[in-house]
Amino acid sequence: MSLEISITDQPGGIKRIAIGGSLDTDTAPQLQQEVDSKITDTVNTTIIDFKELDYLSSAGLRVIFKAKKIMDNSGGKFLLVNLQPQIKKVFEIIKALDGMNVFKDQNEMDDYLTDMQNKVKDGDI
Amino acid sequence: MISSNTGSVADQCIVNVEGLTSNCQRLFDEWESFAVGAGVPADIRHELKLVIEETFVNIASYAFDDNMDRTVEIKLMHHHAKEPSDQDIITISFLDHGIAFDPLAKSAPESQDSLDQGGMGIQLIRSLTDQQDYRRIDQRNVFTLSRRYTPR
Repeated sequence: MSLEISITDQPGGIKRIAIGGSLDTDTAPQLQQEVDSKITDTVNTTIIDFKELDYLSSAGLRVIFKAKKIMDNSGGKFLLVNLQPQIKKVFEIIKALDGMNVFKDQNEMDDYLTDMQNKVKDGDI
Repeated sequence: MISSNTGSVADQCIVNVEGLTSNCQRLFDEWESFAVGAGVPADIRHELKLVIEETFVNIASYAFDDNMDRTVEIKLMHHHAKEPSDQDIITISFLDHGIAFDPLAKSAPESQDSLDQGGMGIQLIRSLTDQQDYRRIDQRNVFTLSRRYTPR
């Protein structure tokens, strides 16, 4: 099965990467290439949207963690949204969800982003 | 092999694949066709597909030097429960003539910082199977995994 990647820019330096299909040994290099070229230090927030992702293996996880590391190193935010149960299970097995910003759906994440923007406006951050 | 006088029924399939990570898809197709034919439920098929990828990629990445015979033989077996109260068992064996290589010897990553360094595969294999067994037999690596589930 193949991997679909769709990347959109959102206001406020947000890069949203929606992935669908299978993120495995065969397809992980495709995502790696996108991460290498699109996740730069001008990006404030990277969102990985797993809504259409059916399958994830450790090769795919490694790319996700590399992207997280780039954001951690530049002080940016790294958010995961719409993890399907079989995908969430993979993250749980390797105990990777602690310390990750994971949102169950779009609404929950939008609330968080709005809250963050308001804090920036109010000068809290 | 299951002998006929035990009364249990087993489906079996043997696949020979060259040990190259680019052959995962071929293996997935073989697994899916075997498992669907054996009536394995979708969630178990999905989890064991992951186990197969992690194991095969591990072998393809570490068990061979240049110019070695890279053939990996994969035996898929499905034992049907004899009684309604029993569980079905799926056994997957990987056999190769590579360098002695025990996938279980690779330790799990110790902290989140090292998660992107690998070692996650074996954690997934251990979690998604009930038994893992590595042996070196007649110059071959024999790695066998089994998973039980209640038939639905």
